[in-house]
Amino acid sequence: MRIRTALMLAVPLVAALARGDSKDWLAYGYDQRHFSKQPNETALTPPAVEQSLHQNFDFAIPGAGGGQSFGFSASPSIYNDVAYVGALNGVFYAIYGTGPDKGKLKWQYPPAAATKPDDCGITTQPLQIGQGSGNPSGPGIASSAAIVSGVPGHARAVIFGAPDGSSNGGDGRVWALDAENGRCIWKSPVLAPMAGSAKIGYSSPVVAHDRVYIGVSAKNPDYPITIGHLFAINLADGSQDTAFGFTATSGPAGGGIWSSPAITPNGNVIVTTGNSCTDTTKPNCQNQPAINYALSMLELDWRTGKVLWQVQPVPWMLDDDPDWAASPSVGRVSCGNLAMGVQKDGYVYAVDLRNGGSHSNPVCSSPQHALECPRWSFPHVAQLPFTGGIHNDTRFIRMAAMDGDRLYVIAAGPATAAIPALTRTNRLYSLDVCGSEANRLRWILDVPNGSAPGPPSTANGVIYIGTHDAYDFNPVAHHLLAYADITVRRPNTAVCSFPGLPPGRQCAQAGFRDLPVPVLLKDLPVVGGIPGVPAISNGQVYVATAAGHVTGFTP
Amino acid sequence: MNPTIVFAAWLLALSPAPQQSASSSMWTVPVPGIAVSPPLTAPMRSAHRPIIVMHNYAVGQGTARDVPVPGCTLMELRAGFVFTTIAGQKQPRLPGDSWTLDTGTVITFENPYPDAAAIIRVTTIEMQP
Repeated sequence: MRIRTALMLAVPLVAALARGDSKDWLAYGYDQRHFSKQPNETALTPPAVEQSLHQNFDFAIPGAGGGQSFGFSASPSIYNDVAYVGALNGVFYAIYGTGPDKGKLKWQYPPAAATKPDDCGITTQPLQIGQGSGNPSGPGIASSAAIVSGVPGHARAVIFGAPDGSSNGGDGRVWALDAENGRCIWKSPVLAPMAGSAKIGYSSPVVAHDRVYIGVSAKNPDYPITIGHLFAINLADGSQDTAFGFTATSGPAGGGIWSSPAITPNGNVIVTTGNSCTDTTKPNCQNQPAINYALSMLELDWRTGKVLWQVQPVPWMLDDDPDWAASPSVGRVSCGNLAMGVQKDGYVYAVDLRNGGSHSNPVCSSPQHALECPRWSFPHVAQLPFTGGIHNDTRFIRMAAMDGDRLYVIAAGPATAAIPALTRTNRLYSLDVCGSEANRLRWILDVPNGSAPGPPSTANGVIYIGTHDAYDFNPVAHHLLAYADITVRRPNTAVCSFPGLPPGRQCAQAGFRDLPVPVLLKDLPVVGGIPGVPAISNGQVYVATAAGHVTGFTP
Repeated sequence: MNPTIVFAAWLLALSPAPQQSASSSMWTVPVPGIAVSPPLTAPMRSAHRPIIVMHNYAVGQGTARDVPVPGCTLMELRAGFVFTTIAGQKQPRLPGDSWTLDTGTVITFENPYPDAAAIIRVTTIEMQP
């Protein structure tokens, strides 16, 4: 009983530490909820952003000049005004964001020069898969870092997933570096062996209960698909917690974890999973696996990995590769605790988080497959699982941001992805997650300058988003854009909720409606597209670009 | 055999690669309640000069009454939800459902949900005048 009581007290404490409750931005999406909101920002007010936000520093990977080898897929994390981010060249960088050395390296790992291997067996070889890795989830570091306390002997540790260049040409492991000097503290056992079909790609670690939770996905996306696994690593020493385990399917493949897990208010793990097949002529697609947690959002018991509920909108027979690749946003809003996220076919779901054991709802279940219903979907779906329609790789893969009850998410919207000519992967929606269905949709923004903008972030009613084109690593002009939510600046333009029609009479006649477009406060140039989350910390916005730059902006 | 399947198979067997009409790239609202995409057309090799015309219908919230169909038509719900009423028979339609309509039939669509279009792919065989 004493142990249980201590544990109950410890969970909120650990959660508070991981959240930071500070001006730092300590993890992918700020903290383990993935709200991508900086709640403690004071300098970046809407007037300050509009009047004076400007470039404060710019760091470029040495040799950067385009090409995947020098790009960033990961998002920066910020601690004490230092940006921490790994690159696809297999090097992890710590970059000063302020002071006389702003824009300069604090350290890099592996070091540029060393005479002998360190405690993790690394000399200077990059953390990169030698051969057979897909881009832009490889070949190097695509996993954003979590910066945490709790590793004995180190004030702060930097935790991320990456290939081990010293191990079979790139076995996938979790790494812990000292945030101050970049020295390797530990590396985990191999989680994604090179001999298999998996790697640690975009999955970023989430830290709770003194454990690091991280997933694996296909080494070379879809060629072949892998079986998704979620692992728990002990934070203190990097050993694997073998009491925890989650396997997405019983084979032959499916449920790769491209996303970063999140933690619920009661400490459990929310994870999303990828597809199980892409083509009914392929061997993977002949029979549904007996255990099929692919294409799903799931809540797992944090101790064991046991599945507590599963939402699987697209059944196996309609799997045309609509991975649930976006990381979930999870936490408390005014109408309860929700887990939310967009699936790659463009539908957004919100699921109620309840206390207690496993549960499902017959209404959303299929024979031999007990599934839970979401509280709502956007757009509305009359019956789940789907019985038809278009559910393919439409590239809705960005994590949402959350401010109060306001969700900011790139999604397919009212037209869904059923009409390719109208499918816009740059359309950002704001949803009232606790509002009625008639009032859920708040505003719409078509993000300019690229078809694949990065995930949004927010502070003080300002929404930051980077422009980006998929698979483009060139040092071309892109933009960090700052928009005002309609609560802080009155909009002066509108757009029809159906993308095929202009606003006004025709829109209303067809049964759709005009919605406001948020006001652009600032448009700032950057070198290369921004595939990750703009991190907001202590009066500065940090972005990492696909062309290998880390840039900071201050008022 | 299901007449929808027979009709769909027949259309697929006959269809050459469809062509986007050059005359319009904009959606229109020919009757209240429905936005209609520009047509994709494909001629059939027949002395009667029939053409296959494909549109997408987007039905917003509300009711579109007595929509005429210009020829023998196959409809498939691709996304969303809609009630259809054909010859007085009201039916709910889910994604994946398809149905056929004869020339001269009228159909009523009702979409009860806000901000959720019912997307219907409409394939019609029209005779040239």
